[in-house]
Amino acid sequence: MLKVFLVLMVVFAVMAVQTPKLRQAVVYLGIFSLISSFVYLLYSAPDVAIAEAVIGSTLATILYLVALKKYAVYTIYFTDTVDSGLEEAVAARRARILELVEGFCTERELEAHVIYTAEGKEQIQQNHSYDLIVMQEGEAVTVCGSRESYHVDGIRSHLLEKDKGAGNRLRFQVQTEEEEVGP
Amino acid sequence: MFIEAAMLLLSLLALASAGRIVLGPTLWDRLLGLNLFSSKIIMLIVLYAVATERSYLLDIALVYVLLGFISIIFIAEFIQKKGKI
Amino acid sequence: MWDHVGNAIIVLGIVFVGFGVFGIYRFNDFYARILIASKVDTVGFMTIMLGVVVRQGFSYFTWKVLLVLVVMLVTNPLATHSIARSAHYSGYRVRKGG
Repeated sequence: MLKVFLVLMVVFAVMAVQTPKLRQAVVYLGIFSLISSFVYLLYSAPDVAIAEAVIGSTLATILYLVALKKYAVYTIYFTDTVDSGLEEAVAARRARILELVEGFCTERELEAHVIYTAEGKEQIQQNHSYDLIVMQEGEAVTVCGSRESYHVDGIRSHLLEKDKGAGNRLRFQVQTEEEEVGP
Repeated sequence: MFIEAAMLLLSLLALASAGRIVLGPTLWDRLLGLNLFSSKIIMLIVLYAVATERSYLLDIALVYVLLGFISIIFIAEFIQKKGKI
Repeated sequence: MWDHVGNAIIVLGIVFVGFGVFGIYRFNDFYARILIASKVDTVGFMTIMLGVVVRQGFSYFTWKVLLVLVVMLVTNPLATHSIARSAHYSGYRVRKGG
């Protein structure tokens, strides 16, 4: 039983170092310190275990999240309206466009946060704060950027340049008129 | 003897629920896995306290319950408000 | 006598927890998974704690176990609800029929 948790500790330590997304790394680090304090308990050191649980699992998590406030999050909403064709083809097209966008985000040191949703474009614009909306209808992709986000010119040129070889039928538009932004 | 076998089974189940943390496509799946994993760790601590007949280990279980709750609530609020706490 | 009854209840609780772990691999969308995990895991926790109480008899030890059980019974549904609320208010939806 001890060996199971030791192996799991090594796995989560490697994953917390290797993952490119920082908020996932915070979750992995919380699990790592949870396991390590249980291992302290199995080595019959309960006082160390209680200190590790308080400091490592809670206080360090909150400290890292407060530090991550400085790190910009790039929120991407993804909708997929028409569901024609095979599942594999749909998944491949989705992976291709998202790979382009996430490549841009790692280039600019932004953290991409992709949310799959079934709402329409106007609904997203009214209800959520967003940076980019990617709408896929069959082969055609429409990308809509928010005017508030100041990476909008960068991602436009990046996508149009990278898309020449890829063969998505891509259309880029910027939100024209700034209405009131919801909560 | 029975308690040791139960602890071994529970640690294998904890390993299986850690698989959801590794696989999970979204961030919320990982949070769900964290919740399951911490509740299994608490069960393991209680069973360990039964096996060794030391009642002060249950205080550690109580601390784990409260701290896991606080950290999960904190991360979920953080994701919902997109970086503003 | 009470030993064996407690052991049987603990085995039942482990079976419940096993169903919960099976459920998070069985379903494909997030909201079904979180529904299964919250309910079945809380029931498994309750059953294991009650098995420990029956097994140990009535003493200072069991009062502490019952305190852990009560605190967990309050906080675990709240934590799960917080995760689901975070996902829903961020606009995460499951595709219809997919």
